[in-house]
Amino acid sequence: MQDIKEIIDEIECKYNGLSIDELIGGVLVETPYGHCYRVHSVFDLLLQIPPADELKRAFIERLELVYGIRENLWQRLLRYGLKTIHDLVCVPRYKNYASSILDILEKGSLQELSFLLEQRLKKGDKLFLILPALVKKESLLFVDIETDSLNITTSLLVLGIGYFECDRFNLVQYISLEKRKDERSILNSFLKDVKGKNLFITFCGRSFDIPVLQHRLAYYGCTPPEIVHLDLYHFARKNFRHILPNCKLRTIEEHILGLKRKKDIPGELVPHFYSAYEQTRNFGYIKYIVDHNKEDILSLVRLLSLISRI
Amino acid sequence: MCAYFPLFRESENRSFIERIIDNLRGESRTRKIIILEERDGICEQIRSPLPHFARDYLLKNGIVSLYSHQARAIELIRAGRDVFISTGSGSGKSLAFNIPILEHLEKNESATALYIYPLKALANDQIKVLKELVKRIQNPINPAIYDGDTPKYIRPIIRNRSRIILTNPYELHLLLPYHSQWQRFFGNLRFIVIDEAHIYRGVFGTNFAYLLRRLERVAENYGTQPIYVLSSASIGNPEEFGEKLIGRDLSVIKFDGSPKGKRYLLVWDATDNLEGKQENILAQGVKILSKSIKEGAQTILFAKTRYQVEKIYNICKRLGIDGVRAYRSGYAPQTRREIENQLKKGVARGVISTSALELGIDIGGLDVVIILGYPGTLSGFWQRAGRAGRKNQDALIIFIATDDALEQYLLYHPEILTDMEFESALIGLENPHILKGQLLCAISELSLNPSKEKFFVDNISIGLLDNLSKEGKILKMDDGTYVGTVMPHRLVNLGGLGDEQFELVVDNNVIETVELWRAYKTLFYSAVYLYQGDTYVVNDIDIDERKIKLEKVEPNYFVTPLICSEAHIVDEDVVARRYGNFTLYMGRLLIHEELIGFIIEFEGCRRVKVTLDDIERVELPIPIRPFPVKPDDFDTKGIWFDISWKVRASLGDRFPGSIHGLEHAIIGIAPLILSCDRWDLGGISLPSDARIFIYEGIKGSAGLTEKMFERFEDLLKMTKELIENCKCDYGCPSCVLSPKCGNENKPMDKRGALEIIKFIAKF
Repeated sequence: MQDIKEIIDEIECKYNGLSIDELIGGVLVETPYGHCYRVHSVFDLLLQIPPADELKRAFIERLELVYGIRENLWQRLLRYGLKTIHDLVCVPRYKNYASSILDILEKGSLQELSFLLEQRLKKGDKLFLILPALVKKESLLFVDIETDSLNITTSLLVLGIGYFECDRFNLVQYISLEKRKDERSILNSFLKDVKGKNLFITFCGRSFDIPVLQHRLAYYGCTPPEIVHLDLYHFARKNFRHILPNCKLRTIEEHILGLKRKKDIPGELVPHFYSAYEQTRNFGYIKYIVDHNKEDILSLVRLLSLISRI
Repeated sequence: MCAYFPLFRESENRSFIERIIDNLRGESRTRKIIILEERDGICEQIRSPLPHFARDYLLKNGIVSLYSHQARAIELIRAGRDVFISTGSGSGKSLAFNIPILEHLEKNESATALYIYPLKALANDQIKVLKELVKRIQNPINPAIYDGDTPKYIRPIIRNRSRIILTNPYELHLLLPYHSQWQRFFGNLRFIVIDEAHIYRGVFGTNFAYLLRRLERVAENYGTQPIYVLSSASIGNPEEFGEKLIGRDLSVIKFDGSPKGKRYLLVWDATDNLEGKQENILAQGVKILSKSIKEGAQTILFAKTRYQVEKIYNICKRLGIDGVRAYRSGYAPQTRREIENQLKKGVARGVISTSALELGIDIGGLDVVIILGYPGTLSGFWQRAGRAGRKNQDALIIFIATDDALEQYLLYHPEILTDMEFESALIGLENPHILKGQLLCAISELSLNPSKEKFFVDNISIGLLDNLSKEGKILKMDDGTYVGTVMPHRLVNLGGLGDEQFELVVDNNVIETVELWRAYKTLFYSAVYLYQGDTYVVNDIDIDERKIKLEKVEPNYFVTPLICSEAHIVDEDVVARRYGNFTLYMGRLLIHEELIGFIIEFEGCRRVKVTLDDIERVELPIPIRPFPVKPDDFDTKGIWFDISWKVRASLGDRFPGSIHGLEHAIIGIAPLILSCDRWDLGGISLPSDARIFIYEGIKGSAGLTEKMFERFEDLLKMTKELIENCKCDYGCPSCVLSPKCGNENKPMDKRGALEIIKFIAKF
């Protein structure tokens, strides 16, 4: 609580009267639907994902991907010397399923592969990492949004996306300076940035970020992009549930990654900060929301690398 | 008295129906018996054969061939037309649309259908039939109910898997803003089924019509245009109503090909004081019920209120009549299912019900239906009467007429019950108050760009968009698109007009919400309020919190507010039509209502009248105070006419009473033509200007005025007959007295009213 009070004092004293350009350093983007504020920053950040070959090998050894095979049967099949899905192709009973799974691995789309994994594996299974491993590093898109409320009919305040380009991590944040009025422009810019990306990476996005984005796009009559999505929350829960008090991104950062955020506001306060901004037009409030969003996205990259190492 | 009475041959083979009629015909209260002749079924073949599942189902249920209306419905739905099936109750309407819909869903693996029922109980009843039908289909269809009772954890599964979803308007209203979760369902929506369509009239119907526009708007956003299937057993104007409801032309199937057994309609006069014989109305109902059950007929008695149901049930128990059950809303669902099953199996020999059993819940056909008191509409009457008759067997309908004006009229004109067309179901799409709330909902669901919009394009909507954005409830973007800033769905009530709402609180529980204009008239301090058969008294009113606190007591008094109304004509779009000796006008009105006092009636017939000026000064036994906030004047539509100076001169001093009586009588008889309640209409008679206003008591109008204007001649004719046939000397509640008159029915001149009609209409 003390921290928050200090932050508010700082905003009121230091940032009052400063322009957004001075504080955040972005540009105003004009779109056919109005405008929004865009901040672009670049970071040196490493991403480590297990090599694709290693995961492919793990994939074909997972007999439970074949419909009808669970733990017990898998053990029995191993005793018969059937170790990989390739081996199952020779068994008449599994021939069709096994070969279609191998087809998906070799030639199938990322959607098909993700659908198969979701159908057959538990959430948070490490084999899900085959999704980022199979695509180029440049086609990953790290997403985090800040909104007005937790309802899907809310409005976007900040939309942050991160992607790799020439080995450097680019972070683009769209900021709504006028609630709702700027939302359409943010989404429009987002749709442009999404082109060429194949895989969304989020934290808790399955239940929040992705449905909200889909709903907001549908609200304006836009078709949401068909992009596969990987939610890191499930990995975090599977691995850290027993050792951490909770599985919030900030807790993981502190206890596992050994990072401590300085002067960060908790996500719950974002709507309050935004309404304070609306009343005072002090861009200091926006700065803190944007910083919070930035930290979240950078942590996504770190967390993905961490999970790959486990 | 029984001039039309057909004599049955005295033989052992008389059916029990005939025995009951014989038994009742000797009674002096039996006014008339009408015979509705039996009718053979007309079957028809359909062009391409039925799908396998349907043939299998029909065979198992012993159905050899389809009736002509079913065949036609199947052909039309197969051709992708919007259809309104408007045939009698029990004619197999559900089967007629279920077959082609399931056929389509069988062929198209992603297509979906939405069934909308006005009551949860109807959906619970229909799901059984659907589940039985889909058993025979290979493709998964998973019909499911999605309403307020659906557990949270099943909801996503239904959204993602079911291809037939049964819901109600209230649930649909609340789920529409979350349409992105329903992308699969709405994106493949092929059919919208609206069962019991006649329910959607008046304010509720107007809201519902806009709800359908919103649904279609969402479906269009996901790239589909669904077709509509409407069904109703009792509606006078299916073409006009259907088109207004869905916003486009539709094919109407009216000709009923199903067979019907012989039906008798017996009209019973339950007037309190008949030839010096006083007999309680409820006791008369019980007498007939017990006679009917004794003869072995399975009987249903429809009473008007829950209170009556309980009272009659008590009398039955006291008299030891076996096998009788009571049925009304408010009972636990299991109890209701149990009673329904007992009726279907024939274990329960008699049931006393409110309108809860009126709509299509399957309880099988019964032998005798007793209707105690006119349900308010002809369609309601036949909905109830439709419960009588198994397949081709004889059935008896007994109508017990009480003192009410309409019922007395029907007593002398029972042919109206059988010959007149059902009332028109009316909706008022031009009502700006309803449109405003619905438009706000629509914008919060999908952004609205006037240049691309297809559904909300009329002038009223465009005007409202401007107003709403000025009020800050929506935002106008640079490219002209409007976006919502609030989620209004919880505030927009499908049965209401978007007025300020007050919560009724009993022991910290909210039992109901009421709009300000209604609260002003019924919920002042110490007002007695009836809710679900219990009596409450207003204890406290908290204006800031919008709460009215009630206490459950049994007061020994009843308070009626005295309200004085004024009408101002808004001088735009006034339409005029010349009738006989007068001109009838129709136009927009501004109604100003003013509370002028109260009448307190104590048990034992003591009456106290107190005006608002006196209320502070006079010592009252109960602390009555008016409602602290006054509603604004409201705009509505109405008709008015002036009466010639010649009549006025000839009536002299009697004129004010005459014009007053005429106004009351017209309003009393109007529900026979308009599908509405007496309380939906208001009237003002101005003796000084010799003018009568009759207007809709609904803010912004619900479409009643146009019908009234169109059929005013019939209305006047019926009013004349009503007054002529009434046997009272100086006016009674059956003719010119009104239960809600602000002037205590004074002055009043019944004969003068008749003279006015005779002069102006030249009948």
